Parts: sequence; structure tokens; C-alpha cells
Amino acid sequence: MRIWITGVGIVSPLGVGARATMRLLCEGQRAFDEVTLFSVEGQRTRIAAEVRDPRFARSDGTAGWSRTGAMALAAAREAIEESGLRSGVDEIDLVVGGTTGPMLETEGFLPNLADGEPLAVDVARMISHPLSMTTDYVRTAVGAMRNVRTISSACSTGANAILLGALWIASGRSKSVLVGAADALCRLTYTGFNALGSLDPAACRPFDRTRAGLSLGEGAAFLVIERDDVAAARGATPIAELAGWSAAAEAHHITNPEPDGSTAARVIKAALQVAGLSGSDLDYVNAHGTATQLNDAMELRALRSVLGNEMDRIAISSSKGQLGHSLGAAGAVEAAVCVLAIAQGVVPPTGGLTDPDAGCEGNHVMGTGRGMPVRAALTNSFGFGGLDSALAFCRPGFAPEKPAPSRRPARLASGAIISAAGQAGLLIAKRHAEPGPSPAEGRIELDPTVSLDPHKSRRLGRAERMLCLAVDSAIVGFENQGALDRANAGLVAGMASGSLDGVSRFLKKARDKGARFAPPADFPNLMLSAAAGHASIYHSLGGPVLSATDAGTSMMSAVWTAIDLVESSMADFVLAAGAAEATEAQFAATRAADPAGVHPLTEGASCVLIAPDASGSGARLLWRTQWHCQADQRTALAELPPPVDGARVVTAGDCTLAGTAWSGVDAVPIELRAGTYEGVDGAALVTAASLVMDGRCPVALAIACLGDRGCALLLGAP
Amino acid sequence: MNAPSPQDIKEIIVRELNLQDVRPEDIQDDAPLFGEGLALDSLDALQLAMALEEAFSIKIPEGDEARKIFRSVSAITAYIGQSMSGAG
Repeated sequence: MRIWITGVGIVSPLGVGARATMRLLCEGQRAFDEVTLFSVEGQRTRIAAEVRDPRFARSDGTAGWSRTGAMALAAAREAIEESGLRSGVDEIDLVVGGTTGPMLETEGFLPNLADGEPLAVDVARMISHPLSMTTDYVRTAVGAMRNVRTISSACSTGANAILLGALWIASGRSKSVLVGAADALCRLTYTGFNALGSLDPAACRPFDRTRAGLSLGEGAAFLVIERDDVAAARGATPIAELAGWSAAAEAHHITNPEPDGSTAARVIKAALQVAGLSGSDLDYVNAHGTATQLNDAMELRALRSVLGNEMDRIAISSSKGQLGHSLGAAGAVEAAVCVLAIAQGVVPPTGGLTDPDAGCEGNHVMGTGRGMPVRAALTNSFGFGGLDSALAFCRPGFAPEKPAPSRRPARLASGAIISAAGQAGLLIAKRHAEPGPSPAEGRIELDPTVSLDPHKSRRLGRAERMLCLAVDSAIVGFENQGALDRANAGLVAGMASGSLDGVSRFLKKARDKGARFAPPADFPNLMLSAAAGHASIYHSLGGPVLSATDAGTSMMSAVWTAIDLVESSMADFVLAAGAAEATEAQFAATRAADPAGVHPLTEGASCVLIAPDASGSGARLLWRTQWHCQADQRTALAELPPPVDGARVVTAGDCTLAGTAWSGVDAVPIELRAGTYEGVDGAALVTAASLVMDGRCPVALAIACLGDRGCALLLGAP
Repeated sequence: MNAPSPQDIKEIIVRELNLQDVRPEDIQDDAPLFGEGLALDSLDALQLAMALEEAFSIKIPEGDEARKIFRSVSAITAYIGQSMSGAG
């Protein structure tokens, strides 16, 4: 089996279109200019790389429209059109990544939340806030998609969206996947990187002796990746091949990279290993190359430690010197650049680089592009929290062929829950299926006897604390802790919208006191992927770490993603965890998503540990389905296996099993004991798992129907 | 505005950096704050610089100069005292 790339699409500050962008990159053009999208008063710089095409100028008022969404759609359409895939005819899956999403459109009113005027918030715009809106926009416009996922891992998001698509193909779950990422510039990230002192006042200069920080950019890129036999059968031809992928976490620091670059090196090595390629096969590296002091030195050290003297031969460049750092989109844009470099036999330069720094030595491409054959290319992406990824591409047929798609079964090996009904492992979870008091609205009481290390947890907000506690309980509850190698264990956080309150407070302070008084230590926590990064650092988890974000069913999506990682042998143990904190902003978001909700608004966290099915106790995953609009619910549940005697159902949200064989089975709404909050779908799942693990029932169905989305997992005894 | 005392600086450190296991009076005037001692890091330094600039309407330089100022509570107190008298 091979994974072909059959379509590429890019929207960049240099141009709309993959080939247009590549041509201007190779001409050496740079896209930096004064910011026009918002005021940059009081910031240390006035520039960024904006996408100036009038099609992305501002909202025309269409529901769900955002600059991010519009750029994503244009890039996705370009990739789909080139691939020749037909929506509604061919089986297409979709993975979209992002970090800012519709922030530019919603950040205007977010400070109002911190002003204490939650009711003044425009509910329609609040609904538009989640990152998954970008995905919805693409899905609705491009046409029918089967499996859909939205992910985030800070500045490695784009690479991880591609990686997840590759796992779906390698595990046989997908035939063709549209994968990519998009991020628009916004005040939040501009002010945040300014507060961290990371912005160069002038246009950035990756690897240069005079480099003084990064320059921000924006954009979108999508690839169509396909199993070779499926693509060949419909007459498609490959542009290049996606040969290798890897992701791991540094578990070091929320903003600073590990100085020795050892995790980056581990990821680069693993991506080449998956590809079956060695350093002597590589002709080009598209580096992460942000132009910060710490990143560039660390990255070159990591590359040299893996590639040795080949580094003097392999051409290297960073596209950020021309396009700026488009954060979540960057990994996808730079992957697309690698694909085009292989297809066109030309590699772009590093804009702004004239005098490579000591410690950054390499075969740098400077000035304009270099025409040269490219057999294989590697691209790195490193995100806040130390979330590192690498992808390897090559000419079609250049890398050794991979085995036929296969996957190993996964099980839910342990779980934990923190809710109004209690806090701890699976014994507590069972309580949710038993009669008991209904919770009071607002904050829950956390067990004072269970606490986190005060120094290590000083940067964690309440939601992140609950998440770390839930992860801890799930690990402690696992029967075979000796086998759980934390250095290779992964984590997927399920987060619907990140810290709305944190964003509101941060933007309010910048608005009221000026940009230079925006609190630097708060900014990294405002990325949706922060909770996953913090938890990986706190618990020393060094496997793949990312976040799944899917509105009301984010925790279920996180569990799915964790299962994807274990099924495809990316990691042996992957935790899926989610948490939400009771605050006015959170309540406003919950009410916006579910205006008819009758359950008390609370808070909570949950975690499950996914392990290979080979041995051990827990709950086996028998069947799963997911839908992204209500119209698809009936189809999604049509193949639900019939219940056996003693089967139980745990629901989150407004679920109906009418029309299925399960319509008569007693269903327990999780909200009766836990109330409702973002992530309550995780509580339903852990409760169902707990009933099975405890021998209370042979099979249990966890089903969540929240807003337009839904998800069902059928669990059975081992 | 009066120049801050070492105690004022300690209170700001504990509050701004959310040090849950440290009381202001636990911090020694001349003890190192970064790496060893309180084991603060560069992100703490950025947060502390912002908080001090806001509280005392001063400007704290970046880079090597900041490293000297942030050596200890005494050094911070002295720098802010000088800045405020220079500015006033």
C-alpha cells in the first residue's frame, strides 16, 4: 500500500492557489506589510503577512462565515478539484486543523464577557466561535463527507491533520481523505506573541545571525491523500507520495522548546523510519524555522543529530521568512510546499536569511529558489506545549511499499470521572447510572485530599487542573501500570472551545490597559491545545499529544482519535481526556449551543485510557458511529448491532434511539447526576464503560446527541 | 507613588506567578529567583516584568540587563527604586 497525494490547494499571503504560491516563493517574494485587519497600536511591530485577496476581506454575513473558513474552503476546493474526487460518489473523509478558527470574527465581543455583561453577547456569533466551525463550513460546501474530525495542536496542527488522515488510510478506515488546516490572523495571537516578546519588529529572518523573532502570517492548505489502488482505480495520478509521519511530545515546557532537541530528533527519525527512508534519500527539508532564537538552534541540532553529515548536502529552507508563521495552518502549507518541490524539481528559499548563525549551519537556500531534483522531502512542525511532528514525502514509488492496511483492536482499559456526583475512578462513574440527588448549578466540590504538585501546576487553570486529576485517576486505576510507559504514551484532549474566560480577560486587559500589559503567562493557555500540552508536561507523557474539537461531542471525538492512534500502532497507550470549568462565559457558550437545555449547568472532567485489545480487563470497543448533522443520525445508527439481554444505555444530550432495536432499552441520562457542561459526553462514555467493566451489564451503549452532532460507542465485556 | 519595599515585590511575585506553595515571607531578599531558589523560568520573568511595569509605571529592559535586575528581590527593589526616582 502507498498513500498518494492527488490534489494540493493553498491560500497564502503570496497568492491564492498552490502553484501561484510556489512560483512566488521560488521568486523570493516576501509578503510582509502593515497590518490592516485590526489595530496594532502599542505592539512591538506593525507588520504581518496578510492574505490580501478581496475574496477573504470580510464577512458577508453568511452564517458560519469566517476568514479562516473562507480560506480553508478555497484551498480545500482546489485540492478536491485537482484530485478529481466526486463528492457524493467517492468515499471521502475529512480532517481539518486550526488554532484561531473564527477568532477574528468573535474576539470583538469577547472582552464584553469579562466586563460582566454575558447577556450582551451575540448568541449567533457565540455559536460561530468553536474551531469546528471551519470544518462545518468546508463539509457543507464541498459536499458529503463520511468521517469528519477537527484537531488542534498549536503550531503542529497542520502536520497532525495530515498525520491523522494517513493513519485512517493505513488502518483501512479511509480510502480518500481531504486533510488540511487554516488559520486567520487575529488580535489574540498577535497580542499574545507580542506579550511573549516573540515578534520581530521587522520581517523575520529564520536561521540568520540577526534573527530576532517571528512574523505572523495566515493562510490555508489542503491535500487529498488516497490509498494508491483506490486512486488508480478511478484513473487518478499521484503528484507525490506521503511516505512517513510521526508525532511526539517533549513534556518539557508550555512555550520553550527542549534545548537539546531530543524529542524533535526522535520525531524526525521515526517519520523516516515509517517512510523506510534514510538521510541519504532526502534532498530537501522544509524546516519549522520560526526565526526565534530557541527554535532555530534546537531544530538544526535535532536535524543534524539524525541526518549527520547528510545535512551539508540536503537543501533546507523555512517558508516562514516569506509567508510568516500561520500557526495552525503552517504545517499544512509547508507539507504542500514539499509536495510541490518534489513534483516541480525546485525548492524555495528562506526569505530574510543572508548570514546563517553559528549553530544554524546547513545547506541553506537563500535569495531565490533552487532548481534541483527532489526525491524525498521532510517537513517539521513544533507547537506550544512541545507538540512535535514530522512528515516525509517522496516521488511516487520512491519509498518502499507499506503493508496492506490493517489495524489492531482497542479497548478502554481504565477511566476516571470528576463530576457533581463525585471524583475518582470507575467506582464513582457507576453512580451516574444509579438514582441519587441532582446537582446544584455552578461549581462542583473538588476532593481536597487529591491535589496536584503546587509548583508544577502553577500555570494551570481550573479546567486544566480537573483534566490533570482525571488523567491521574485513569492511570492509577489501570491494572497494569508497569506496562504503561509514559515516555511513549499519548494524550488526546477533547475540548469544545478552549478557555473563553481566559481569552475574554486577556483581550479586555489589552483593550483597557494597552497591548503591552496583556499578561504573557496567560497567552499560551488560551490556545485550545493548551490543556493537552499542560497535561502531557505534568504527567510526563511523551507520545503523540493533540486535541480533538467537535463542539458538544468533543470528548467522544477525542476518544475516537485515541482509538485511531492505538489501532494504527502510533502508540500503545493513549489517554483521552476532557474538562470544562463552570464560569459565566462557559455557561453562555453552553446555553448558546443548547438554548432549550433544562439541566443544571455544572462542570467536570473525564478520562479514558485506550490500550491494545491483546490482553487485560476493561471494555472492548464493539462498534462506533458519529454524525455531524442531524439529517445523518438515522443513517449513522442504521447499522447499530441489536442489544443483548441486560444491555444498558447512557445518554448525553437529547438522544433518541427510536427506530432502532434499542428503543426499548432503559436509558440513563448522564445529566441527572452530573448536570451538563462541555464534555459531559465523556462522562456518559466513562459511565457506560464502568458498567461493563464492573460486570453490571454485558454491553453498554454510550450515545451523545448535542446540537447537530452525535456519536455512539458500543462497549462490551472483554 | 512610593518606591516598593522588598515585601511589596514578594507579594507581587507570589500573586502574579500563582505560587501556591510559597508565602511572601518565605522568600529571602537575596536568594536567586530563576533556575534555582524559587525555580522560576523565562515565562515567569515575562509575566513578572509586565506586572512590575504596570504596578510602578516603569520600563524593565529585555535580555541581559533584565537578567541582572531579576537576580533577587533586593535587585528588583533597588532597580525599581532607582527608576522611580530617576523618572520623578
